[in-house]
Amino acid sequence: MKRLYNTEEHRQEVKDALKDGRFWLIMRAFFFPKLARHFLLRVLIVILTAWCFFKFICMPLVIKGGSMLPTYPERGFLFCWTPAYWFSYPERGDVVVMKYGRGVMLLKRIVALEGDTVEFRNGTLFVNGKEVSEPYVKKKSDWDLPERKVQKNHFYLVGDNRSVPMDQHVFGEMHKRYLAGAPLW
Amino acid sequence: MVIKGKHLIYAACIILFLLLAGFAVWYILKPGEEQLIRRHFANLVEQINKTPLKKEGAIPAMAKAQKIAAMFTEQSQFNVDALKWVSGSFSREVLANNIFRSRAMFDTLHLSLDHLDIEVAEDQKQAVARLSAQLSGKMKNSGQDLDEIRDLECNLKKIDSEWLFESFRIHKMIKK
Repeated sequence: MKRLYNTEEHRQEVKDALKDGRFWLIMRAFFFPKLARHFLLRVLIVILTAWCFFKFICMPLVIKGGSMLPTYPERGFLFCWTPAYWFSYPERGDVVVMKYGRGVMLLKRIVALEGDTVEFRNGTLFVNGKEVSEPYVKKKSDWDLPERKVQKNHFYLVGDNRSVPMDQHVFGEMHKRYLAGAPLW
Repeated sequence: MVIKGKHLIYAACIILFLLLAGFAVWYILKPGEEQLIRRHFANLVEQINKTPLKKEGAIPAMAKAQKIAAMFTEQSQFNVDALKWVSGSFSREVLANNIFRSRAMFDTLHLSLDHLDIEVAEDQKQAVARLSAQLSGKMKNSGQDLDEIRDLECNLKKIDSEWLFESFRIHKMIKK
């Protein structure tokens, strides 16, 4: 029997098959369609669209490391939504994805923006001299970092997991051009 | 067929059209300043990289170091965070020696440049490039692995229709 594809004749054949209850024919047409020009074109469009979507719009990421515990698990999977900051600017408290070399991204929280001053006093974060309430930090730390001003076009990024010693935690100011987007969830 | 005056006019029009189309294609496809700078960076990467498959003798290594130094202006500035001894102003000769010595310390070297962002000045003679660079390699004596990533800001100058590196500011991607 001929395999089905999108012509008037074969549409009729599908209708007949539905009437007769020959579902296997429809299933076969669905899962193993004839490699007609239209089908190949559709496959090509789907592949190209998926590639563009997952390369530039919604990048899949694997989380390795616990710098964002407990907000994000030590090992996990998420998508980076790149249009998140196409028409807006990130704010203090936003979790962002930053580009860090080839094929590596950093998942951090923005705690201060350009021109702000940042300081850690016995584990407590101070931005512009004011204590910041951080409900997302579950384990308190003893971090002490002298006050510093965030440079122009930079964000100050810190992970939520402050239970690790300060020198082992990757945090600090980073140029805004490395901003890739925001995690999708 | 008799060639008439109008045929000659048609032929002239077609030739003119083809010439204009050719010029337009050349104009669109000709490499712009940004493209030339990108090529300059790609060339730098090619020269710096060192693979274990290709054993490099002292003379080819020196030639390579001089080639790299020739990609810089006569006097170039380096400002490297936390490495004051690498910072300063260097002539091409000193730079070639430093590059030769540094490359000789490694069995393998791989430089990759990403997120290249180029701003060419209006006079088309100066440019600023911002990028991230990742240098990985294996040390010759200790066998220690190197994998460092830095944020670079580079000033380029166009001299005799050739782009040359004038200064480099190298700092940590994320700074506490």
